[in-house]
Amino acid sequence: VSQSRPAADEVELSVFGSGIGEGLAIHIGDGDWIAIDSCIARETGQPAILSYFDELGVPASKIRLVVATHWHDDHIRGLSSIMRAATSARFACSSALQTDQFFKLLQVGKNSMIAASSGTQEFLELGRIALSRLPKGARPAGAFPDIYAHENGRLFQRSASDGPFPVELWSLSPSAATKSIADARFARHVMSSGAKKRLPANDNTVSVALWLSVGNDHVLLGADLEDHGRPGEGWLGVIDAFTVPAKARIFKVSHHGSPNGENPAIWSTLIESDPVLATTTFLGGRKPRPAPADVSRLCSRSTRTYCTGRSVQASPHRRDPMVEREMDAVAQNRTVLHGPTGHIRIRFTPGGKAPRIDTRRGALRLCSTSTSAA
Amino acid sequence: MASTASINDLVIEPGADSELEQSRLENSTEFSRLTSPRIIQRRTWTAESSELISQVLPSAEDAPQHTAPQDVVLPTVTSFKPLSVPPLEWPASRRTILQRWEGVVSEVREDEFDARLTDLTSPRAPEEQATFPMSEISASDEPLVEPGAVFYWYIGYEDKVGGQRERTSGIRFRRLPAVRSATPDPEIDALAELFGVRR
Repeated sequence: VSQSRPAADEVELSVFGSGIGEGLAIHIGDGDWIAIDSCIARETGQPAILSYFDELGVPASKIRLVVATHWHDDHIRGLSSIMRAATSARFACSSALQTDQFFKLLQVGKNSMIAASSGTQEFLELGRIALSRLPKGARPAGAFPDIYAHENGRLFQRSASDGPFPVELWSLSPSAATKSIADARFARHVMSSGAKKRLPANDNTVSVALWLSVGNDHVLLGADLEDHGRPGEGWLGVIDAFTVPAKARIFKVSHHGSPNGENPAIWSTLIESDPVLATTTFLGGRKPRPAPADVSRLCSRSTRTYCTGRSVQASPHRRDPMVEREMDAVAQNRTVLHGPTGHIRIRFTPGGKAPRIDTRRGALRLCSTSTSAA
Repeated sequence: MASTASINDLVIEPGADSELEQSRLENSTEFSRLTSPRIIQRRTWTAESSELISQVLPSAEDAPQHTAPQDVVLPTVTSFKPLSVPPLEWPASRRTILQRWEGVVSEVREDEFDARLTDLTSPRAPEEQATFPMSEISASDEPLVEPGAVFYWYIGYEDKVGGQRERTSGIRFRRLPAVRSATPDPEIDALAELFGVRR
């Protein structure tokens, strides 16, 4: 796989996944990039996006926008490092976090003394970076984040006269209904347990799904947005509220290919037939994702379905044999959550030929070419 | 062990000495009786004082064997002279911790739970997930097992007094009181203002 930079008139969508993490880097032409979420590469201990930039020789200062789709560990780890390196980037996050309860949650997270990195600690660090960049006395209320993402919100725009093609990035969620649900959930957690517990990762309905328009081509980025069939929430809320300019030819599958990461209607309203699908693994649940049934479902939509890795256990860390024996005696179903950092790279020229897709470091195509798309 | 009581502070009440010895003979294995306020007065009394007594008085086992209480003739003790007696040390088993994790419960079922484990011994080791049977959890910790709960798991070995070595494993759930957000935190307040949440 060539490690050359994308051409100035080329779009690149790079999807990184490291077992339970996910991060995206998008080249929007003319050497400019957008970073969405972050995962840590096990091999380097650094955000996969920054390691990739090092390989390409791209300075992080070329990142124009950093987006946190939500604040779960698997999407936000290392985002503060990206933000620190991306000195000229603007920052966008879910408007569901614009609530006093979330900051109370940050406060208890700050005092929790839990070793496992958590979304609250990473978010706190993002805030500290913002504070350090604004001189005291020049920190107007609401100065950060630069943009709050919500349904039908434009996060980024570049006109055709300022680059090789026009670029727009829209947030499709969260909806107003979802935000009030998230607020109540934050409050419940703060009141009930404080820092004794971490907030279970079950509020994906506040995720920021994104719509990227590059020239006349469109890409749907699903984040972890879920759908539970409730009007006004999740994917149903997106379908109700978003006016689709044209269907997307590429879909970053939401929620690691889980069935609840889609609503059947998105395939007919938002996405072209036979799209390019890219997903990431999640090994942290009872059922690693994408599960075999997820793979079958996705392959029935498109044979061009790619994943950052296999949903199987990676090599375990080697410990003292006595420790290993005792671990096996006490704990069952042990699973290593971080595998190699797989990389799916999709490059295309807007209005040009079919995308060119490369897979690296364990990323793979999930469907055999003989499988017929539905 | 540091003590705030001087042995010179300890006075046995005149007339009570024979009663003290009588008690010792009747309860030869119980030194706790020595701490009875009825027998011993103190000017400065701490928990350590009883240990000092145990060091300066002969042990019950070492006491002469009397055939009958009436044979006992003891002088009236009014004070003790300081003695240099090494502290009594009992051999103890030694525990060595080889591995520690921090766990966060992700899902709870009737007789088991899943948790994500962060290696505290080798911080660069990747996170793992595992299923633990409830039988590994002490009864006092069971109510704490719920999604998001934090626990610590250690594995090591214990060298017993007799020389045997045993593997040990323990899981303890975090019992810190909940940290409330009512206490003002200037940094959080500044961030909340920056984010346009508080004014």
